[in-house]
Amino acid sequence: MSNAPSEFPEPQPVTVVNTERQIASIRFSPCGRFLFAAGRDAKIHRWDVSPPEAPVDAPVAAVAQTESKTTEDAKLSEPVFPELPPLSGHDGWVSTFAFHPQGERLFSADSWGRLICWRYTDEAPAPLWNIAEAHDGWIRQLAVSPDGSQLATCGMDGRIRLWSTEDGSKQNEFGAAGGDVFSLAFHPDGKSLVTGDLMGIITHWDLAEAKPVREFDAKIFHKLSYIQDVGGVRWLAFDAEGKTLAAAGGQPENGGFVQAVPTLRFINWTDGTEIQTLKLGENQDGFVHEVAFHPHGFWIGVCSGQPGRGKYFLHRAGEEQPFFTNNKPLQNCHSLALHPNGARFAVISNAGTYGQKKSMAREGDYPGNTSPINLFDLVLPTAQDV
Amino acid sequence: MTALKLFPKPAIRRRIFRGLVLLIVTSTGFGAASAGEELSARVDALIGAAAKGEPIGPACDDATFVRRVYLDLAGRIPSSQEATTFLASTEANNRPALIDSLLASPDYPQRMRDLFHAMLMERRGDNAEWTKFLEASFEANKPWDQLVREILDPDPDNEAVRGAAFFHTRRLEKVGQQETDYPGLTRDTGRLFLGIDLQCAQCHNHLFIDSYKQVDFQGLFTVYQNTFIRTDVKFPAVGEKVTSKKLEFMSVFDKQPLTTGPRIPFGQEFEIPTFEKDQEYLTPPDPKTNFPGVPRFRALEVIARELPVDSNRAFVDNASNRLWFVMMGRGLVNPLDQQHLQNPPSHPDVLQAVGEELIATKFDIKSLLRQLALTETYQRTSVLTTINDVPPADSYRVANEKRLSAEQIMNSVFVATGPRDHSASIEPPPAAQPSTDAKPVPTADEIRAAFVKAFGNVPQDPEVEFSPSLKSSLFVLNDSAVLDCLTPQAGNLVDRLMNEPDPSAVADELYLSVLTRRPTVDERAEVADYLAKNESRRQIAVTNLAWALLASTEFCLNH
Amino acid sequence: MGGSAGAVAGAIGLGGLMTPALADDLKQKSKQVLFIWLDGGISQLESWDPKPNTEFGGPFRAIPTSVPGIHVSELLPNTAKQMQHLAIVRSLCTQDDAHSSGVERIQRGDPKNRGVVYPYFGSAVTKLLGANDSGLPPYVWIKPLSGGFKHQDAGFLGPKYGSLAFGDGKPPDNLLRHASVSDQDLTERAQLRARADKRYAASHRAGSTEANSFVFDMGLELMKRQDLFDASKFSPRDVERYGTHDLGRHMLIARQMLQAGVTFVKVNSYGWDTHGDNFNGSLSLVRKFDQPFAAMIEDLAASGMLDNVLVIAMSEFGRTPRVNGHLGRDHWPEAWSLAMAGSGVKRGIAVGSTSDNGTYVTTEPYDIGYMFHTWFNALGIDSQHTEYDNNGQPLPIAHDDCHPVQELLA
Repeated sequence: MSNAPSEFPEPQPVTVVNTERQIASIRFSPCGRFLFAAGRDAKIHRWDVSPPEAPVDAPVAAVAQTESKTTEDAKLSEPVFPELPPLSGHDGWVSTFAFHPQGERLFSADSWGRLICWRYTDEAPAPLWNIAEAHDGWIRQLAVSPDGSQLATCGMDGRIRLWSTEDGSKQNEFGAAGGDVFSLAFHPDGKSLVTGDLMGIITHWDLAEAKPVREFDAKIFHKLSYIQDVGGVRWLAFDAEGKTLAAAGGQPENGGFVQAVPTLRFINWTDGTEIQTLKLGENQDGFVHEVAFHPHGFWIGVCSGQPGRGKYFLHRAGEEQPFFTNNKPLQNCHSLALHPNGARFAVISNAGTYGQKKSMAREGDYPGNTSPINLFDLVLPTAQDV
Repeated sequence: MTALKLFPKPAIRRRIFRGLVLLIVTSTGFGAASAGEELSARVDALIGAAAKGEPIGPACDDATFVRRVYLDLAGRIPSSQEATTFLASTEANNRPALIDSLLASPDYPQRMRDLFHAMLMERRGDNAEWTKFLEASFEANKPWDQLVREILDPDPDNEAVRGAAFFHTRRLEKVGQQETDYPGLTRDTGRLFLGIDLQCAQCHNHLFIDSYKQVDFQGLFTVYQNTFIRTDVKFPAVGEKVTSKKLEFMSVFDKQPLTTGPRIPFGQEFEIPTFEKDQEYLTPPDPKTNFPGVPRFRALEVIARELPVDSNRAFVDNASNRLWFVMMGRGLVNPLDQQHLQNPPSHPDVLQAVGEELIATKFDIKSLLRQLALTETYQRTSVLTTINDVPPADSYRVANEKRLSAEQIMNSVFVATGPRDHSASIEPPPAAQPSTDAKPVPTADEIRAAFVKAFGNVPQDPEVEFSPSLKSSLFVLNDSAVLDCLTPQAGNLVDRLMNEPDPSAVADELYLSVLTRRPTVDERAEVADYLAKNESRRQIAVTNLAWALLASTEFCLNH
Repeated sequence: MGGSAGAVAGAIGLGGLMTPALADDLKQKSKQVLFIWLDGGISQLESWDPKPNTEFGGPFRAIPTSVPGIHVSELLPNTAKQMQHLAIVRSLCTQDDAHSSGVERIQRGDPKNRGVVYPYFGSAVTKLLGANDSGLPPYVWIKPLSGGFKHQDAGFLGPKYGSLAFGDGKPPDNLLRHASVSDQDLTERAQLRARADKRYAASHRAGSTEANSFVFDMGLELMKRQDLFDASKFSPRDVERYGTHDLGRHMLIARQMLQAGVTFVKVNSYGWDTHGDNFNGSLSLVRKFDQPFAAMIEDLAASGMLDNVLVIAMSEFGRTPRVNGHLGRDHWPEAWSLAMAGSGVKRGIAVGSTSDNGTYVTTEPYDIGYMFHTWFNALGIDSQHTEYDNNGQPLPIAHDDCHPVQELLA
C-alpha cells in the first residue's frame, strides 16, 4: 500500500490564485465549492473553485502568471477561479476561521479579538452573531467541535474559550492571563480539547470536567533568546481516529532574525508516548506552520523559514522521512487546505520582496506583498492499485 | 674569486680581496647596506628633514635606553644586575653592543614569538604547535616572506612548521551557530599581510577608499571558502577542496553578476586549470582515514607563491610598517591595516627606505630591527620637557611611548620583583602559599593566561595603543598573580629591601629593580620618609613602595 | 534651555572645553543620562507609531495613553500609563540601513566627516559634563554577555572616555580587596602610586598617566561600592515590577547606578532585528521592554530624579512597513521613532508624523544630528556654540547643519 519515497507520484500543479494582499490561512468549504482565505487586510476572501473547469479557449490572462513556478505545464487547461466579494467586519488581521462540519456556517476570528459567525452560502453574507471582544487581542486559533455544537478559541491573552456555535454565548473558559496559546484542536471523539502554547506545553483538557488532565512536554518548540521567547507550538492536529496527535512548530536557534529547524512531533494519544520527532530541514527552514491529516493515512504539512525557504511535504507518522517533498521552490508556506474530495489541496506561498530598498513611497510606489495560493492535485492510488 | 685573476699586482689584489671580504661579510651578516649609507642613517636623515626645523629631542639617557631596548628585543625589563652592568659600562659602542647581544640572546625568539602571536592571532587563543612554529622561526631568524609563506600554505608534513596552520584553522572554527567566517579569514589575510582592510569591499566597491574594489576581496575569498579544517590529524591542518569554477558575486548596489578566480588583492587573476575526471587529486582522498586528499591545483599554493614577494608593494609596505611600529610605537601608516591613497604614510620616503632594506636583506627581520634600533629616532628621548613642546606622535621628534603587551608586563613584573639576577627563562616566582586542596598552586600557563586576560584586548581587537582598563587596575590591585610576587622569598626584591638598613640604598635598589633607573633626590627623600614612618612594619612598607612603582604608569609603558 | 553662550576655550588645561563658570553651573545640576539601546531595530509600527487597520499596520491594536490624543501599540500597556512623562519622536529619518555601520553612526551622532572618529553619545556627555562627585566610572554600560572597558566608544576624545561595561550587570573580577592588603595599605599604596604618576606626567604626555590614574582611581572607588552589584539589595516588589528577565534585571541595576551618581548609564538589549516572525517577536520583545521601562520612568518621576536624568530609548533604525514573505519587517531608516523623557525635555508630547501607511515622514524629518543637538541642550549644553578641542582642532559637538528641536525642549 505505501509507496517507497521516490515513487510517490508528484502532485500535479493546477493553478495559482493570486491575492492582492497577504493572507494567513486557507480552507475549502465542506461542500467543496469555495476556497476561503483569512486576509491580513481584515477581510475574508473567497473564490468559487467549483468544477467544471473553464472552457479550453478561456483567456489565459485571467489566470495568474507571475510568481508561481508551478504553473509551467498545462497553461491552456488552467481553470479560472473567480473571486467573490470578500466578507468585511473584522479588524487587523483575520487570523483564523473554520467551517461548521455540516456546512452553511463559517466562524472567523481576528487579531483584535473579534469572533464572527457567518452564513457563507449567502451572496452577501452578514454576521449571524458577532462578539467584539471575544478575547483581549489576537485570537490565534479556532476550531469547531466534531458535532458542530461548540467553538473553541485561544490566543495571545492566554485564554481558551468555548462558545455555542448557535448564538455565540460563552460556555466555558480555561487557561490564564500571561500565557500565549498558539494552537488547539478538538479530539475526533469530541470529549477533549488539546492546546499548545508559546512555552512548548501541550495541554489535554477534558471538556466535561472543564479541566486539564494531561500535559505533554514540547519544550523543543521554545527557546529564550536574550529576552525573546521564540517559537511556540504552532499547530496541533489529530489523525482521523484520534490515535495520533501531531504537534508542529520549529526548534528555535535564535530570535530576532529567527532561525529554527522545522519540527514535527507525533504523540500517541492513548498512552502519551512520543512516536516520532521529525526534523525537516536546517535552521534556515524555520517552522512547520500547519499539518493536516489526509484520509489515506498520511499527513500533509507546510514549512516557512528564512527568505525564500518553504515547502510542503507528505509524511506517514513513524517513517524516517517524508515520502514526498515538493522540489519546485515554494516560498514561505504558511497554510494549507485539503479539499473534501481528498485529491486537491492548496498551499499559500508568501511571495516576499525584501522591503528595505530605498523607497518610492512618497511617489506612491510602495507595493505590499501578496500570498499566491498554489493548487495541486494529488495523484492517489485507486482502489485497484491498493 | 675570478676577479682576482684580472689584477695581477699583489697590492691591488690584496685590497680587492679585503674589499670582497668586507662585501661578503656585510652581505651575509647583519645589515646589508644599500648603496652607501646604512638604513639607520637614512631614516634619521629623512625623519630630521621632515621635522622642518621644529625642535627634535636629544638621545635618551642610558637608563631609559637599556630599559627600552630590553623590552623591545627581549620582551622584559633588565634585572637590576643587568641594568647595573650596562649603566656602569664606559665603552663608546655600548649601545650597539647591547643591541647585538639582545638579538643573539634566547630572550629574543621568545619575545618575537609573543609579539607575533598577539599580532597575528589577536587573542583568539593558543596552540602548542603554533607556539612552537613561531619560536623556532625566530630562533632561526626565518625571513618574513618565508614565515608568511608557511602561514599562507601550511605544510602538514613538516613537523617543525605545520603549526603555522593555526592562523587559518582557528579562524575557520565555527563560533556557536554562526556560519564559518570565511570573510573574516579573507579580511585578516589582507589586514595582517598586506596592510589593507577589505571588509567593506565584500559586498561592493569600497565606498570611501577608491583603491579597494570588490574583486580584491572576492578574489581572495574564493580561495578561503574552499578550505576547511582537517579532522583526520590531531595538529592544526588545512584541507582544500578541488577548485573547479570561478566565484560568482555581485555588488549589492549595481547587481551586475561578476566572476573571479583566485587572485591576490590588486593583482591578476589566476587561471583555474581543468583536469580530466579523476585526475583532480594529486593524492586522492581516503574515506577510511578521513584523509581529504590533496588537489592537484591548490589555490593556497598560488597565494603563498604570489603574495609574499618583494614585487608586491602592499606586502613589502606592510612588513616595513609593522616592524617600524614594533620599534617606534606607531605605524608610518596608521592604523596598521588601512593603507590606501586617502591614508598615506606620514613619511613615505622612510617607508620606501625600510622597504628597500627589507628587499635587499631578503626580509631579514633581525637585521631590520637592528638597523631601526641603531637610529637616533629610536634612541630619542620621550621626555617632552627637553624640547618644551608636545609634538604630534607621527613626527618622531620625541620618542613615542609604546604600549607594553601582557607578556612584557608579566615578564617585567617577575624580573622586577625577583632576584637581582633574574633574567633568562622567565618564570613566575615560587608560590607564596603552599598549595591546598581548595587553592592549588597556579601553573605558569594559568598565570600567563591571567595576565593576558587582564592586560590583553578582547579577541580580534588589535593591541596598538596604551589602553589601561579597570580589569588591569583591579588585577594589579587585588590579584594573587601580582601580589604573590611581592611576598618575600630568599633573594627577591622585597627580601632584599627588607634586609637593607640604609634607606638610601633601599631607594636605589627599588628604583633600579622596578623602574630601571636611579631615584631622583625627591624620590629618595620620599622613600626615606616613608620608611621612617613605618619602622615597625618594614616589610609592609617596602612592599607598598614596590607595589606603587609596579602600578605606576612609568612601569607599564615603554617610554 | 539654550544656555548661556559657552565660549570655546582652547586651553588644554580645561580639557579643551567651555568656560569655568558654565562647567560649574552644569556640575551643580548633576545631569545624568539613561540611554536604552534596543539593538537590531525595534519596530515603530509595533511600538511608538502604530497604524492599526492599515495595509502595513500589522495585527495589533493601538491603545490610548495617559495623554489624550496620543496612542501607542497595545504592546506598551505600562508605558502608555507613563506617557505624561514622555516625549515621542515619530519623524526620525536617517541615512544608514545596515547594522554594522548604522549603530556606529547613530551612536556617534553621524556628524560631518572631519577625519576623526566622533565619540559615542555616552563618551561625549562624559566629556562635556565633566567628572561627577560620585567617584564612580562616569560612563557605565550594562549589557548581556561580556563586560570590560570599551575604549573605542570614545573616538578622538581618548580612551579615558570609553564605557565600562558590566557583563550581565555583574561586578568585574578582582573587585574584592586581596587578603594580604589592609585598608590602610590600600590607601597608602594609592597615594604612593599617584605621586609616582604625577612625577612621570611632569615630563611626558598627559594622556598616559591620565588614563592609568583614571582606571586605578575607578578601581579603588568601585571596591568601596560592592553594594552596587548586590542584587539581593533590591526589594521583591521592585524585582517583580521590573521583571526577572535580563532587561528587567539590568534596568534595575541601571537605576541603582543612577542613584549612586553615575553620569551616563547605557543599557543594551539585543535581538530586535525581527526580519522574520516580526509580530510574534514584537509581542514578546516589546512587552519585555515595556515592563521595566515603565517602571523606571515611574520611579525616576516619583523620586524627582527625572528632572535631572535624560532618558532615551532607541535603536539604529526602524522597520519596514512592508511585511516580507516570512512575516518579518526589514530595516527602515526612512521613518522611525524614539522615546525620550526627563531633563530639559517637554513632557507628554508626540513630535512629528508619518504618512497614513507609515512609509515616510510628513512633517520635518529629523536625522540623528537633530537629536544630538536636542539632547545636549536638554542637558544644559549649548550644542551650537560648544566645541571640542582635539589637540588644537576645533570640532562641533553635533552635526553643524542640524539644530535642536525646540518642540522637544522644555
